Amino acid sequence: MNLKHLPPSLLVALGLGCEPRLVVESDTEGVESGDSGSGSGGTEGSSDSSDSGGPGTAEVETGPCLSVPPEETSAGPCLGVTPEDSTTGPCLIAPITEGEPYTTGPCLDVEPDTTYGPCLSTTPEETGSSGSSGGTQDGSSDETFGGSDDTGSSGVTARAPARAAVIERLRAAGVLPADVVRTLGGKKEA
Amino acid sequence: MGSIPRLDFELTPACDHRCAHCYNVWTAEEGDAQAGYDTRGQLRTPALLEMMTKAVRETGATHLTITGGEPLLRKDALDIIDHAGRLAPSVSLITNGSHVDRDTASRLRDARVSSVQLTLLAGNRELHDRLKGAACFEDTVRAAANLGAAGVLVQVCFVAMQENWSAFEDVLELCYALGVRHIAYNRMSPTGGAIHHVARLMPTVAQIEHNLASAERLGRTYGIKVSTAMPIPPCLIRMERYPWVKFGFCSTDSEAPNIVIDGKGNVRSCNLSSGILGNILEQSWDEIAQNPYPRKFKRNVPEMCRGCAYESSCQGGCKESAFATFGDHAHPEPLLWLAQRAQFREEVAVRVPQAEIPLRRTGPRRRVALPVIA
Repeated sequence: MNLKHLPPSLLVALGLGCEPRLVVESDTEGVESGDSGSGSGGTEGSSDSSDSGGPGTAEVETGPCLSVPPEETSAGPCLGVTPEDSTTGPCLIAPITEGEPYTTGPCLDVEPDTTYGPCLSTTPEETGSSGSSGGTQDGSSDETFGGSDDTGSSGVTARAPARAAVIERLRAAGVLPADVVRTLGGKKEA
Repeated sequence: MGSIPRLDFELTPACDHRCAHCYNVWTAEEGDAQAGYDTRGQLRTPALLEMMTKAVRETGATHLTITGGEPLLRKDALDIIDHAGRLAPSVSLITNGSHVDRDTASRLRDARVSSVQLTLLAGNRELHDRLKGAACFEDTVRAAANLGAAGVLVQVCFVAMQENWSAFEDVLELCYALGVRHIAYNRMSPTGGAIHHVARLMPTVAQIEHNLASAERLGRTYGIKVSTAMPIPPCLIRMERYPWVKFGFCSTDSEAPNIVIDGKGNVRSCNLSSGILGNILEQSWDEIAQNPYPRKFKRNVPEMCRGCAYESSCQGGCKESAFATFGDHAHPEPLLWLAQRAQFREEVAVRVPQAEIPLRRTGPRRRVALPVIA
C-alpha cells in the first residue's frame, strides 16, 4: 500500500504523522525541506517541533511531510494536526486565530465552480437572484438581505444604510463626480 | 473533450493601463518562464469574426467572454461583440472601464451583453489610479453608472494586493452606491509581468481573511454577492466561516474549462497559461481538445499537496502562477509559498528580479514564438 495516497490526517491517526509544520520532502525540487527548523517559515501549528525529521531518519514515507518514524511524531502532519483532532474529518482546517494549530474537519466542496466560472472571468447571476433590492433612493433603509442563498447558508437580516445617503456622502467626499451622481439618480440598479 | 460551455476571446493584447499586477502572459519579460508569447499578427475584423464563428460552432459554447488586453481599444470591438451576441445566448465583457460612455453602454445592451466586469482597486482615485498607472478611477465609476443606466449588469473585480487590501470595504461601499451587486474578489494572480511585482504586492493570508470577513459582513448588509475566482487553497483559510462567499477553483480539465482564444486563434487552457494548445483556424476543436496538457496539468500538483483530500479539486491553488513565478507547475504557487515562508518576499526577489518601478513595463520585449505544447 502506498501511504502517499492517504490523507495526512489519516496518517497521523495511524501514528504515521510527521513534522508539525508545512514542509516538504527535502528532495522536492525548488523547495527547502525545513528539516532543521532553520526559520523556514510555515509557522502555523504547534511549535513543539522536535525537528526530528531530518534527512536520513526516514523509515516511513508519509507523503508531503518529512518522513519521521511514528514514535517521534508528537504532533500531526504538515500543519500541526494532532491525532486526537483527526476524528472529525479528513481535511485540514485553518485556525481562526493566527498561531493556533490547524485542526481537521469535514471536507468542503471545492470542486471547480462552473456557475461563476473559473479564473478571472466570473459570470454573475442575473439581476434579481441575490434577494436584494439594491438599496433605496429615498432614504428608507429597512432592507432585508440574505435569505437562503445558493451557498446554503442561512440568511441574516441586516440594516443597510440608505443608498442615497451613501451616494451623497461619497459625492461630498469627492469620490463620485456630479455627473455620475446624476446618472445614478436616474437608475438604481446596475 | 467534447462540447464546452464557455469560451473567452482575447480581442487584443493592447491596453492603456499599466497595472503592475497585470496577469496577461504577453507582459512577461525576457528570461521569464512565460516569456515570448508572440502577439504579432492579430486578425483583422473579417478573419476574427470567422474565427469566432468556427470556434463557437465547434465547441458548442453558449457563454462567451470578451476580454483582452483592453478589448474596447479595437476599433471594431462593438461589431465583434455584436457578432458574439449572435453566436451565443450569453456574452460578458471584461474591460478596464476607461472606454464605456453612454453610447457604448447602450450598444452593449443592444448587443445583449449579459454582464460587464470592471476593476475597482480602491474606493478613491488616488490609490486606484496609482495601482492602475492611469487616471481612470472616474472613468470606471462613470462606466458602472452608465452601464447601470443602460440596464447592463455590472460586476466589479477587486484584485487584492498588499497595497490595497485594506481598501476592500471602501470598494464594497462604493459598489453599493453604484448599484453593483456582484464582486469578484481575486487575490493577486502573479503571471505574466506581475511576477516582477509579487514580492511587493502579494497579500498575506491574514489580509485575505480580513477581506473575506468584510465580504461576509458587508456583502450581506449591502446585498452584494462575492465570489472568488483566483483559487485560495482551503488549507490556508476557513472557508466555512464565509458562507456568503462563493469560492471558485481551477477549472482546467473540468467539464467547464476556461478555454481562451487569442486574437490570432491560438487556444490556451486558461487566461493565465502561456502554453498554446493549438490554433482554431488551423485545427478542429476536436483535434485541439486531444492535447494532453490539461490532463497532465491537473495531475501535476505540488508534492506537499499529494494525499490531501483537496488534491484533485484545489490542486494547490493556481499552478500557472507557480509556473510563471518559479518555472515549475508543481512548485507551491506564490500564495502557498508565502504562507510557508517567513522570508518569502526576500527569497522570491532573489529568484525573480523585482521591478523598481511600481507599474507594468511598456518597453519592447523579446518576441519568440512559443512552440505548441503537447
